[in-house]
Parts: sequence; structure tokens; C-alpha cells
Amino acid sequence: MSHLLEVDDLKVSFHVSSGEIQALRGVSFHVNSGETLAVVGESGCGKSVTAQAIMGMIPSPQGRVKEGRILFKGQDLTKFNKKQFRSVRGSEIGMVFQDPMTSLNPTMKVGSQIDEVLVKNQKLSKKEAKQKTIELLKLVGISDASSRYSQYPHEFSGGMRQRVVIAIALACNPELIIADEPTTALDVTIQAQILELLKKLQKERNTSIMLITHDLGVVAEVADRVAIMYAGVVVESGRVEEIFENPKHPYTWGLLNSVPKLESSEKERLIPIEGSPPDLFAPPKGCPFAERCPFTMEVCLEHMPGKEVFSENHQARCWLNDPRAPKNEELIAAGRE
Amino acid sequence: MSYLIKRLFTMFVTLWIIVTLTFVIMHMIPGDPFATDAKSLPEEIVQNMREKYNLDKPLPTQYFLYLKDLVQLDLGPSIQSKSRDVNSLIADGFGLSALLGIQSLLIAIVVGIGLGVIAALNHNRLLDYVSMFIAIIGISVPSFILAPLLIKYFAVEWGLLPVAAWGTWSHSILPTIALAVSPIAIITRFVRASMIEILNQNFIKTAEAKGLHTWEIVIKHGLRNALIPVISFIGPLFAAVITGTFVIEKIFAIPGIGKYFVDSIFNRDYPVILGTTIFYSAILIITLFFIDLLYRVIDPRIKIASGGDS
Amino acid sequence: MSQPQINIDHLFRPADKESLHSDKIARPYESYGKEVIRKVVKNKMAVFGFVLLVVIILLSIFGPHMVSHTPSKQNLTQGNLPLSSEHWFGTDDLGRDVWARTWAGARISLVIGFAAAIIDLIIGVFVGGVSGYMAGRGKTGDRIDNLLMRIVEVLFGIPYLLVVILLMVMMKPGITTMIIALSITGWVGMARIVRGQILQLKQQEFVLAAEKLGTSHAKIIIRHLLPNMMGIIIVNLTFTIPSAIFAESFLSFLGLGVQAPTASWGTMANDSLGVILSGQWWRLFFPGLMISLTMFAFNAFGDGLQDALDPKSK
Repeated sequence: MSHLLEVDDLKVSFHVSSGEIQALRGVSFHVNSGETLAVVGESGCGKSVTAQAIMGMIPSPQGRVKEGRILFKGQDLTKFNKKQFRSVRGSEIGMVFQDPMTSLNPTMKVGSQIDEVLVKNQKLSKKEAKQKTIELLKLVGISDASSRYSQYPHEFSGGMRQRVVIAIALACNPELIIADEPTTALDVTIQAQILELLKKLQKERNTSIMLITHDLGVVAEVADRVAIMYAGVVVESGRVEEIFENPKHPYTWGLLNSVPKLESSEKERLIPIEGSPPDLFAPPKGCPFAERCPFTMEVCLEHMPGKEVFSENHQARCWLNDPRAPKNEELIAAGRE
Repeated sequence: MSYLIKRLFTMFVTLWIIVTLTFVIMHMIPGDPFATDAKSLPEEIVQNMREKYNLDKPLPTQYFLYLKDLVQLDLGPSIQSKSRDVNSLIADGFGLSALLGIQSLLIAIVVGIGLGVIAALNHNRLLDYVSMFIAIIGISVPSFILAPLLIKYFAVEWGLLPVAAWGTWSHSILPTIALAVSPIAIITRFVRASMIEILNQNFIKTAEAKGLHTWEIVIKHGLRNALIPVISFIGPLFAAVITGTFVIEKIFAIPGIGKYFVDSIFNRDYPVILGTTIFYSAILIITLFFIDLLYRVIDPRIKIASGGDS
Repeated sequence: MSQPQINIDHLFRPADKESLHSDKIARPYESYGKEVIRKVVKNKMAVFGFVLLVVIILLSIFGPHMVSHTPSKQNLTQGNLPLSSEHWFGTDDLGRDVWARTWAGARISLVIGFAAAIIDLIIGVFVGGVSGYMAGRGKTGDRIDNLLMRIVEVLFGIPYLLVVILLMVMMKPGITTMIIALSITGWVGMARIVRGQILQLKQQEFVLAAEKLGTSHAKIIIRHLLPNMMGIIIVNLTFTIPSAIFAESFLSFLGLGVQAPTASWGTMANDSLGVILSGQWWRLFFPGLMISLTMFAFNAFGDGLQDALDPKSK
């Protein structure tokens, strides 16, 4: 149990009028102290639901955790009540949301929004909190922090707002920060700055980061390890080099093929992954990627592949890695190009 | 500051338009204020009366004379109650009407916000349905149906409260309730809808992720934002309460402005109709003005756009 | 993980993907309209409101003909009779049948309510639409918006019922007068809502995109703006109809609406004020109940519709 966070076979479903949507269908991964885990996948694959489950913020009563455990510092968060969750949120786990334009309260001074979390979780006085907030604003790179303190969110640009959101997440020095697509809504240059900031803060404070993204470029920049999610399951996970150099799942190959590479001089075309993810309203019984996979075998349609372990960190769920699979090296090689 | 001046200017222009329109309408009304008395009064006296009230002069002259008096806040004499002028009628009735109106508005705001928030927090659960049921009943039953029922049961059958007329504060309880019910319902519905929307916003998730208690989130982050759209509803609500007093004062025989207004219509007492209409409009316009200021206080985003939205 | 017990070795060969699409189970797809109807039908209050409304409308058409008494036929020897098989809702002091009068009153209320609401709708959507659409479109556009909003502001500054009362005093009392009086200021609310909606929608990408692509004004309004506002307009309609009905009974109650001997819920309630304490409860109860049920029906249906039209609701 040396992992800071360990998610084990997590299953979450949403009940809507037309039936049950199985958003997470057995998600397992872990985050070690001081490292950055990137959770990657297309929209709708369950990345954000995973974050919500960890924070205890799955919309009720439609959504609920059906099975599995979320161990944070050895405690199972799925067993937590509201009060226990409140003691974890903000103080031990901080969260950065996707859209900085809407994740700050428009009618509250920016400073007060940071103060609040300090007063709540560290029992600081208003004055001490203000002091610390101004330090935090400086820390996340907001110049003129003391006058910025009493401004409102609409007086901040998107990138600046995201810095404020990061300051809120950081305020109580949490051990884990969950960043849900923190750069998606931002301009490219601002994206780089925000990622740089996250990296810097992590180094200084030895915080663990669970970075949710659909952008492999972001992953390459900041992550130590990667978990690739597809249709409510983790299909491949491993160290960032392992995933980029030696991916074992056709979906990862697809993702890597669809990333533009700046260094390649060739007029390399981006290869999109054909098709769309399965409907989690009625997930397929076999591998969820089978329908879009260029190498589908009959077994893929019938049975969910188990975990194949390649190294201490690297594992994937794909029948192609089964010894019984045809050693169709050429096909695989062709697919990876 | 320039915004304030602009806004004040608009206020006066609006009021002037209302005065003019009402004046014109008033003088297009068929029927003569002396018609009822005409049989008993000799022709000369009627003529004298018409002179006294400037009714013999051409309309534009009457209009300017009226405006001149109005600027001095003189609403002119009443035709029906010959000894009194409109100012003193309004002064007499205002206290009662204002007490009723303010009492019921305050109750409506407190109860309405409370019910609305409870409903929103329990969206699609029992308490939501209960609050909405109360609200829908409040909107469905008109005050002029509710008021007689209140009198019948609370005053006559159970003898808990005085029947009607005016005396002690307890006389104001039943009319206040009758007047507050529909505003309560309106506020409840608006607060509920607004609150549900706000509670789905991202910044509520941020607040939740801070580890705040539900009630802290509701009060500090939810309510203020949810009330912004509701504020714009206080104006019409205020107007609804004013008009509500017409029937309530009639049913409960309360000598407020509403009663004078309704009586003046039947008596064709032009100066009173005109005076009360202007008075009501002025109050409403001033209220709207303060609501506008309140908006600016409560919503920091408006300051930036202060030039644009006026 | 759970490795299958059965032998699956033979399945390790390329699959025929063509067969995949045939047995794919997809989430049942439904059109927007169907979805709205399904949500409304699921909402019990809304269904109840709708059914109630239909019943009230039917009774307002056929109710008076179901008894042999006409609404205004007096029979002084039969005054203030309680409920009986002859007079289902009893009679009033002039011996008129309360059942017949109640449904005759329903007719007046519904006609006035619907007519006033439809006029409000037309004027309100037009004024609000023009105003919202022109806002921010150069100097002329802003001027048009400003002018229209000034008018709206002035009308908004006067209590609605006050204006209606003044107009009722000015014109000859009657149903047409009532409809005119109600719609002269009633459209203001709709205009404000429509303008607000348009201002909001104009900021959205799909409208900006359409504009940049050179789509004509009319097409933008008809194809992009109106469909997106339909919901809120219809919902507003389900609230303006009952408020017009309320205004009618309110004015009639004050004696400013329809005139005797025409039956109206408001006049019936007013007539019965004096006798409520002496025990002839039916004279207040039935018109009062019908006003309340009608208001309830519209509001319940409107609420359900509002929820159903909200894309965020499931």
C-alpha cells in the first residue's frame, strides 16, 4: 500500500429514464507520491467520472459507485460519508476544473474565493488567510497580487483565472491535485504556461497530480505515468516512455498516430481513429475497442481481454498480446505507421 | 455618476408620459363627475362647480394647470369629497396601504426565498414537490377568493382574528396573508428555478471541491447568484401587491389608497383617479430605480457595462 | 482478470467485421419533439393539468347546455337554493342556475385569456425580436432598440392592472374592450423575454457562424433564433393565459369587467361576497374553485412543459 491513491476495479453507473449508463466498468490505476499520472482518453470515456468518484462528487441520485474501491492513503473513499469527504476535499485533495471561465464564482472577489478554502480547512483567521492568499497568488504567477486580490473574476483573463483555480486547489497544500483538462479551454501559449506552472509547483511541493486530458502532447510534457481509458476501462497503462515507445494496445497506437509531430519534416498525415466509442448504455460484451480496431479477432468480440503485464508499470488489455494471437508482426507494424 | 443622472432623467420622463397619458385617458372617459348630482343641483351650481375644477377650460389649459400644480406636489381637489384634496386622501390612506404592502412583501420575500431554496436543494424529491405544490396553490387561488374564506373561517367561525375594518395591528393579519400568498408563490418558483440552474454551475463544483458544507455553498455561492435574476422580479411583484390592495382593501373595508382609488373610479372623480395613478406609478418607478441600484451592488459584472445596458 | 473457462483458442483469428453492425444495439433514438412529449407525459402534474384543462374547456362548451336553465334566466321564487338534482350547483339570489352561470363564465374567461395571450404573443415577439436583433447593429440598430425599450420601460413602469383599469373605465365595458385593455400592456413581458433571449442567442457560436457565413437576417431569425426560443415562448404563453384570466375575474370582481347580467367568475364571486357568511357557500365556492382549477391547470401544465423543454433535464 505504498500508493497515495489506488483505484481498484471501480464501477460507476448512471441511471437515466431510458436505463443504466455504465460510465465506469472496472477502472484500476494508482498514483504514487510526488508523481504525475496522466489519464488519457476521448470525451465520454469516463475520465471525469473517475475524478468525480474520487472527490465524492458523482451527481446523485442518478449516479452511484456500484463496485470497487478508491484507496486514498489507505482509506477507502467509497465508504466515506459526506462529512468525511468534506474533510478530504480542498485540504488533502485539490481539484482544478476544465473551464476557468465558469469555475469561479462571478459575484465573489477572487481573493475571497481563495481565502475561503484556507479559513475552512486550515482554520486561519480572515487576516492570516488574506496574507496567505496574496502569497498564493504570487506563487501561481499573478503579478500585482494585493490589488488583484479584491478584483472579480470577470476582470481576469482565462489563463489568469486558471491560475486562480490552481491557487485554490493548492491553497492547503494537498497531497493530490486532480486536474480535469486544465488547459483544454485555453490558448496554446497559455496552455504551455499553465503546464509549466503545474510542473514547477509539483517539484517545489512534491504534490501528486492526476492529470486528466485527451491531449497526448500535454502528457508527454508533464506526466510520469499514463493510464489510457476507453469506454469506461483502463486499456493500457505504463510509464510515459513505455507508452510512447512501446505501446501495446491498438487504441494507444491510434492515439499516437493522431498526434501531430512537430519534428517530422515529412508531410505526415494525421491518421484519425475511424468510428466512435461504443454506447455505454449497452456496452459490448467483448473488447470495447473491437469495433474500431484494425486487428479485430473473433475472440475480441466475444470476451473482454484480461490484463497482460509487460513490466512493473506497463500493462495492457488486448488479446493481441495473448500468446495464442497470431504473430502478425507485419500487420501490427503497418498499423503503427 | 453620469449613469445616475441619466437614470433619474429617464425616471422623470417616464413619469411625465404616465401623467400625460392618464390625463388624456381621464378626459376621454364618458360620463360626467356631476352626472350623479345633476338631478338635484340647479344648472348654475353645476356650472360653478365646473369652473371651480377648471372643467370649463380647454383641455390643454387644464393640462398645464394640472402640471403646474403637480410640480408643487399638489394633486388638486377631490370632486366627490368636497372638503378634501387628493393629497390628504393619499396621506390618509398611505399609512395603511404601505403597512399592508410592506408587511406582505417582506413575508413573501422571506417565505418565498426559503421555500424556493428548499425546493431547489431537494430537486425532484419530496420536499421539492411539497414546495412546488404550495407555490402552485398560491398562484391558483386568487386573493379575492382566498380573502372571504379567511374571513369566514379565521374571523367568523373560529373567532381568532377581527373580521374587517381597521383598528389594531391584528386587523392587518388576515389582509396581509391574503395579499402575500400569490407573491410567495411567484418568488418560490423563481428562486427555485434560478437556484437549480446556479447549483449546476461549475463554480458550485469548485466550491464543493473546497470541502465547504452544503449550506455554506448554498448561502455564499448559490443564493447571491441565484437572486440576481430574481431581483428583476421585485418590480412587477411590487406592482402586483399594489393592485392586490385594491380588492383586499375593498373586501376587508380598509380605508387605504386602494379603496379610494376603486371608489374614485365609480364616482368618476377625475382628480383622485389621476392623483392615485400618478402616486402609484411614482412609487413603482422609484422602486424600479432602487432595484436597478441594488442590481449593481449585488452583481459586480454590471459596473463594467454600466453604459451599455441602460 | 476473469479468464474464460471455456476454450477460446479457436477464436484467435481475424473477425468478420461486417457482421458487427447488424446486431449492434444502439440507444433508442428519439426526436426532440418526441422527447419533450415523453418528458411531459412522465410529469404527472403536467398531465393532470392538461387533462383538467381539456375538461374545463369541454365543460365551458357543453356545460350550459347540460341543464335546462339558461345562465341569466331569473326566477325569483327559486332564489338561493342549495345543490339539488334540478340545480347542480344551486342557485343565486335571483334564482339563476349557478352551474349554467359557472360554465358561461368559463367561456368568457377562456376566450379572453386565449385572445389576450395570442395578441400579447404576436406583439411581444415582434417588438422583442426586432429590438433584440437590432441591438448592437450600428447606430440605427441601437436607436431602434433604444426606442422600443423606452416604450417597454414606460409601460413596464405602470402597474399592469392599473392601466387595464383606466382603459376599462375609458372604453365601453365588454369582452372586446377587456381583450384590448389586457393586450395593450400585456405584451411587454413577452417582449422583454424575447429580447433577452435574442441578445443571449446572438452571442452564441452557431449564430455568429451563420452571420459570418452571410446568412440573411430573416433566415437567421427564422432558422436559428426562433426555434431556440420556441420553448420559452410557449412556456411564457402558458403563464400569460392564466394571468389574463385572472385579470378578467379580478376586474369583474371589482365591477370593472363584464357587466351584468353576463356571468363571469369574477362577478359571481363579487355577488356572493355578502352571502358567504350566511351559509350560501356554493355561490362563492364554485366560481372560486373553477378560477383556481383553471389557474392550476395552466400553471401545472406550463411547469411540466418548462421542465420538459429544458435540455438539461433528464
